[in-house]
Amino acid sequence: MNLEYILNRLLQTLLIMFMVSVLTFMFVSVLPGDPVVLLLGPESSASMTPEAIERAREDLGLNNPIPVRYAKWLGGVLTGDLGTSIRTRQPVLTAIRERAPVTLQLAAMAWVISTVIAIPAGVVAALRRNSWFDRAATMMATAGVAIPNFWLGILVLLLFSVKLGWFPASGYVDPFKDPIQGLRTLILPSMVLGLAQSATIMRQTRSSMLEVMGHDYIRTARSKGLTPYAVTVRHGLRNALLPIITVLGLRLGNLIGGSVIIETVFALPGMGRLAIGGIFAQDFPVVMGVVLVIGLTVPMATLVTDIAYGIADPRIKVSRSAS
Amino acid sequence: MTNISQPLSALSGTVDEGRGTPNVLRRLLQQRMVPVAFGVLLVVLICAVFAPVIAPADPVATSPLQALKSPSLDHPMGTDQLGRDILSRTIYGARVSLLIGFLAVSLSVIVGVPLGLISGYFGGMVDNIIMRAMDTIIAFPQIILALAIVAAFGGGMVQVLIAIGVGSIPPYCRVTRGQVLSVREEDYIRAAQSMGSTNVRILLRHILPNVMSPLIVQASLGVAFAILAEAGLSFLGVGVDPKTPTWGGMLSQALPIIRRAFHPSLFPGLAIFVTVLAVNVLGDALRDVLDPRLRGRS
Repeated sequence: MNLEYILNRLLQTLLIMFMVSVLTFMFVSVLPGDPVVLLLGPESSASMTPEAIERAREDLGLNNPIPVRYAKWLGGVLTGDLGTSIRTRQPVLTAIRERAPVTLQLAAMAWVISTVIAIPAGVVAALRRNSWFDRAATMMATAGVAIPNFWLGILVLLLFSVKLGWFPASGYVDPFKDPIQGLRTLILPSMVLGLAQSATIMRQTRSSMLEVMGHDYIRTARSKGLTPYAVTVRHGLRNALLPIITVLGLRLGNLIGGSVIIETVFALPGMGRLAIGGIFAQDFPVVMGVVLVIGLTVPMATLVTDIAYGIADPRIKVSRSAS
Repeated sequence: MTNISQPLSALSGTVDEGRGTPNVLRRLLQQRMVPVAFGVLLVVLICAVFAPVIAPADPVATSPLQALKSPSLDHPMGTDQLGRDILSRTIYGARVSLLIGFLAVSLSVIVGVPLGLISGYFGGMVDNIIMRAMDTIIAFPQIILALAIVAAFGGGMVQVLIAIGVGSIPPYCRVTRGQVLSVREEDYIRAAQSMGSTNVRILLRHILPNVMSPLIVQASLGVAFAILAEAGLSFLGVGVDPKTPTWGGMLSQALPIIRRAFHPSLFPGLAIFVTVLAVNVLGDALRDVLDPRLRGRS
């Protein structure tokens, strides 16, 4: 594993995280509208006298030049101060801490489900190209990419909760406190989220396997008399996995984005619903807190993916990261 | 005798002969499912354009006495909880979906392609800055970026358009840059440079034509994505004006009543699914036609 590669990727990630913080700050400070109204809420600011608004502006440091304000804001972010919710007066970080486990559990379960379904399906589809399985899997993947996950969520909810009554229709129980009930509340939403993701991963796995299985070393492995399992798994899948790892890592952003919608369908109290509630209540600090935390999480996940890729493929050098 | 007035790119062999529009269309239509996809999209387009003529009822007129009627001859898709005709609302919903689908992709292309051309052609610091800016946009899951934009600017057609369009710039920029990098060192580019062509002329006359195929494919799949994204935002209630009939908005209103009636959530969902599927089928077919190396790979 090339240390220079890791350092290079780390530096790039830090740069992206810095730019994410700049972009988020711009939403708070540069966009149209009075930042006092955005930060204190329209109701609070409407009831304030002009003098009180001016005092609040001074207290919030809004009269300082933008770079100074950014530095102060970043200092606060780095020490865990993401502001205070206008609606609940709760620190934004506390609100996010309470909600993040739900989103992470949902995304993690969906990730596992999508991987478990997609990789075997993609491998078999590639090995039996043009068979009925390949056609069915490809068709399912095409449909899976096109189906809106919130509609799939409604259909699943209707069948498994309303008609069959197998799973609760809404609500959340922490699986670490009550594993059975917790899984029952999470299984449907994570299945819906996972199925939508598995379509893309399955297509990538199939495509990767088709490419790898056409290489000379696979023919050599076969001619050496290796078992089909050894040829497929040890020589084929191992090499085909490299681009799949990238897709799996990059899907994290989609999983978190998708969970925002799925949380709404299944009434799960995650970060997505926190942000949506924030938009409706014009609770700007909460919305931006969620946006910032998610915006910082995705580059970190990409970094881990790239390092995993680098470990899996020793040919990866610094040059890859330049693109 | 060689025709010296023909563009240099034509000598390079990188632009396939036989990729003229009629030829591509003919090869597209030979593919299975493409005529069906075309048919579906034509129906959706007709619905969007002629909605006031086709829709059997006013899509926003409420009628409490007609609430939640099952599909019948009077209301082929039934009515919702306010007694509004679901067929009419579904027909009108095509307008927002298609409009945002195409305009958001246009925005992404208009911004992303020039950035990709500049990034790939000039390289160095310019390339680095543009690519890191793209990395920053990618860091935000699209729906999260859209929520941030809607939170800051408020909901509405233009805001949703910007939210979806801005979030989709990076793929166009990257695809363009990748293609530029692959042709930048070709002899015909060097020849154009040595003949004193300006950078703008080289980019537009010699490089852009070679970028078109992957861009068309990307854009076609982008329309599908934009339709899904718009529906998602409307479903969350942060899309276009809630009074405007949209497929996502209709699903959002149908969710609380699924125990009482299923049909309000069936038809708008089907409309999104079938439209996006048709666009994707067309996008996949375009990729097969324009880039035969990828045929059957995905």
